[in-house]
Amino acid sequence: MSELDNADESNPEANAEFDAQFGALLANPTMWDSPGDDLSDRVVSAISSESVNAAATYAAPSGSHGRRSWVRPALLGAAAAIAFLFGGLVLLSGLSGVEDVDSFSAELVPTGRTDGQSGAITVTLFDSGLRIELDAASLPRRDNGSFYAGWLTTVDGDLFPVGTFHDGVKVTLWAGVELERVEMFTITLEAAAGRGNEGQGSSGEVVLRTEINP
Amino acid sequence: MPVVDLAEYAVDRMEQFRPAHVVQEDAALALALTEGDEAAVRMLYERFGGLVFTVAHCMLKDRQRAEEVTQHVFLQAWRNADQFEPGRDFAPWLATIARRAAIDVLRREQRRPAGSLEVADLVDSALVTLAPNAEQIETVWSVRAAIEGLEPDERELVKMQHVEGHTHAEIAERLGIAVGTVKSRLHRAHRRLANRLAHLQGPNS
Repeated sequence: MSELDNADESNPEANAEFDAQFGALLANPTMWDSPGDDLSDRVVSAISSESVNAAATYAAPSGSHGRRSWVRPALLGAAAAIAFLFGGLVLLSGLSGVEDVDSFSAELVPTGRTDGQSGAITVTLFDSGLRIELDAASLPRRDNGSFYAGWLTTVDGDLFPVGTFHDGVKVTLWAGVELERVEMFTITLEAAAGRGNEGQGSSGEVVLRTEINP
Repeated sequence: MPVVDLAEYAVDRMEQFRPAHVVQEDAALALALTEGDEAAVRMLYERFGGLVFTVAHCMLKDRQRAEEVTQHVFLQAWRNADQFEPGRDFAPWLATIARRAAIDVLRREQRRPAGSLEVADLVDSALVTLAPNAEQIETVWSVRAAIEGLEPDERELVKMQHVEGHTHAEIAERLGIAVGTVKSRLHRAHRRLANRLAHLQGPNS
């Protein structure tokens, strides 16, 4: 039993004992800091997005068996529709004589910083680099010094800017980076840095993201 | 202590404080999680979000990255919910995921292109070379859990004293209460904390 258990509140020895044991731990401000209020929504949003997008873009999570009965048929239906659409596009592409190039698409996952955003990118490989066609019409337009920026993150942690834009309608971005090094595409919300600042860096305010799994 | 031993180690340390109803709640929560129940995700976050965030924050020294790791941890928990053993404690399981996720971030940060050390931020996680060991993670987790277990008024007083460095008289003046009230509430809070953190004391203390 510690001295604190028997002491009243004015006992300096008990207080000193407590401070000696736990004072340093409690004095660490990090122990008291809490995540942002919106993190709960972002966690749920990320999980919801992954469960919906799993069949279309990624492998299903290992813990997905036994999930609600309507999810699997819905995902299978979506996958079938996408496969049918993709097959049609390939057929049309072949008939029209379009050059056969390597490309793939990926669904963008909202981070929860803004409500109800979604989108997709189509990445096409060229000798000159990667062309990224963005379709994210649900992104609200940003003007007057506010804008969006696209970024590719590599496995080495390098960040490549791929372009800026006001909204997500018919946006084409380019990147001079090897596809095999890329692991993430993100869209951030930016504000102009202003004159006198040393270049425009990422704000870190990611609104949409996707892993790149060619 | 090797990373792989963390779960067993932490279970031994943490489970002794789990009342029976908490064990039952955890089992039900794990089942709901494997069913993909959104409410279960929120409940899990409400119980452990602050704890996971604190572990990540202490390791990464960066609030934004700690939030990203926290989000990743709960995503991983959802993905691997079927691997959770009913009857066990969520806490060490989540602590293990959090530690590994934060270590992954630290490793990636350390692979970034090198810049001048003179301009590097002193809290830049790329400067951190050693990840905290399992015992340190358990300490961080326990302290945070003990803080969250305090009554709101007690938590405020303890923070004012230990983090902000105020005296009893200063706290009393700021809150408009008697010095004696400050002392008695702090004493009560210290007793709660000491009881909940007793397992952190060395054998000679």
